[in-house]
Amino acid sequence: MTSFSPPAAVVKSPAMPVGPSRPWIPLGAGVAAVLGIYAPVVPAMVGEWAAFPNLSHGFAIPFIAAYLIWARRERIAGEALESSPFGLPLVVLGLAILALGSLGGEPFLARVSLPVMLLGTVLFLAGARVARHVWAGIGFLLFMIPLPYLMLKSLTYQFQLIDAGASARALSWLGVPVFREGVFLHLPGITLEVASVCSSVPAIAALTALGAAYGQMHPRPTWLRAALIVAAAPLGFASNIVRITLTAVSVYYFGPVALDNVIHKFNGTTVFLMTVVLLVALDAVMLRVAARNLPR
Amino acid sequence: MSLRGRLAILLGLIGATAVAIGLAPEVREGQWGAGLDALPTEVAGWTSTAGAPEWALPVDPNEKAALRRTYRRAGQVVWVSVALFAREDDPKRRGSIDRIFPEANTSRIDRVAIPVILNGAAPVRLPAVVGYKQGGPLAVVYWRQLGRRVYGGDYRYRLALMREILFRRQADAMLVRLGIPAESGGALEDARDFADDVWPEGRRRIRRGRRDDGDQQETDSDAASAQNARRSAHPRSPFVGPLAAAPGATVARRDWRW
Repeated sequence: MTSFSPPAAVVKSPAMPVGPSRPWIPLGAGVAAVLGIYAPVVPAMVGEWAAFPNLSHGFAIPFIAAYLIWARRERIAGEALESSPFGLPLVVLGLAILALGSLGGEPFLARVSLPVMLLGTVLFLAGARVARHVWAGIGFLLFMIPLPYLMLKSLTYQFQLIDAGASARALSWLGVPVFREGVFLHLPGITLEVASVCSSVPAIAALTALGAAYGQMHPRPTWLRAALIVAAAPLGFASNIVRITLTAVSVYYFGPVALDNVIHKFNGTTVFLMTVVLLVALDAVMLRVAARNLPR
Repeated sequence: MSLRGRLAILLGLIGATAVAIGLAPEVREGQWGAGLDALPTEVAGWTSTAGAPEWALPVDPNEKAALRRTYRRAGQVVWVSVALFAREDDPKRRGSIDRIFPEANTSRIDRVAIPVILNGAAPVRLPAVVGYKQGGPLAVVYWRQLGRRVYGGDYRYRLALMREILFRRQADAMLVRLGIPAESGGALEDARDFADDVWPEGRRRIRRGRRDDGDQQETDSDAASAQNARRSAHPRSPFVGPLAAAPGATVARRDWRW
């Protein structure tokens, strides 16, 4: 028999665990039960990640979320297990949303209830102190959930128009004659279409997740983390405009053969890499500003 | 409460939810009481011929049954597609919205809403899509029916479908589309005229199966009052152009060239 020997930090807590000798085992069992009830929900979501390249970042999200929690394991282990009064209502809410989504044929609802349930379970079984360390990892799971198709379609089309408009403006600044008609860019001798796959929307979801993960990787002030998340979306949009504009400029000067170039063919990768570079640069600038403002 | 006690509560709740989900009856396909052919071929001056162009009203391979006709009246042409779908709860059916309107080679898609009286006194705001293609603009007005209830908005329809699945375990729906060549202007007004004139009679004839009989909110005696309401709701207006919406229409988005 082994007994639970809490770390030193736990000893001074008034909420010392009572009951089982291995308090983390019930918590693990609770989380396992939660994951078990979501087993029917996950395969279809994974299928969507595999089927749509725009959603393929979903494969990375659970691992990043797990890392975000693992990185705080020592702080989590140092906390006493208690119960938060918000835990049970959150669990009930999560299960209600799951039932509504599963029985009502709306997978988005069923999927979005997973982070709610996980957070509720942690609050209910382990308390607010533990939840404070794991909420970021659990919340990060939201990035793996594809938006409802109706919403995604409408959003994608709006961004196709915005992308086409911004690219046309950039092209005219660069001296390329262009007439924009909706999502079409009419260049001399050729018409380009800003198709749905060229829209900024798919990139924005992945890049916002990237910004959130990047911000959590190393110790930073909270405002800087928030700024990285907020900045990822516009940086992704700007990268996409640059990509479309470069493609159109290439087509104008070199003809349709330019549509086979690397920048256009690997559009997702191009936008991703450009955004990473911009994000790292922004982070470096903001870290420098933060360091300058620190009290000496 | 001890940790074990809390765990027991959690497992109990999860188990109860799993049982509730697992024991819920399967979503089943409904019985359609009458064929789509019951849609009148001649009504209020409109005459029809079989068929409608697929480039204007794309065919959805999941249609259980479908009717396509071309209606004409004094220079007005309306292509009609009425299609029945089963098991709309299938997640794969979410892509069906891509097949309502032909999107390929369309430079711009504008969405408007037009008020049409389909089921009684209150006008329903129907979504209308105007797409600008090389061959000329095309307007498509569409709505869905669950039983005898009409749903214009896509989100409202999804919500109603969820309610239908939850409480009746049925997910059958009808999609009605009206396609109108829009180069000559007044396309949406033509669609509204057609819907006002033909559909109240059509929907009375196309009956869903017996399960909906208790669900009827409109009786045949409502038809006269509906007709009066239609007349007062839609005074004709002299607007022109494919985007000129019917009176009361809201232009959801306009995309301006620059």
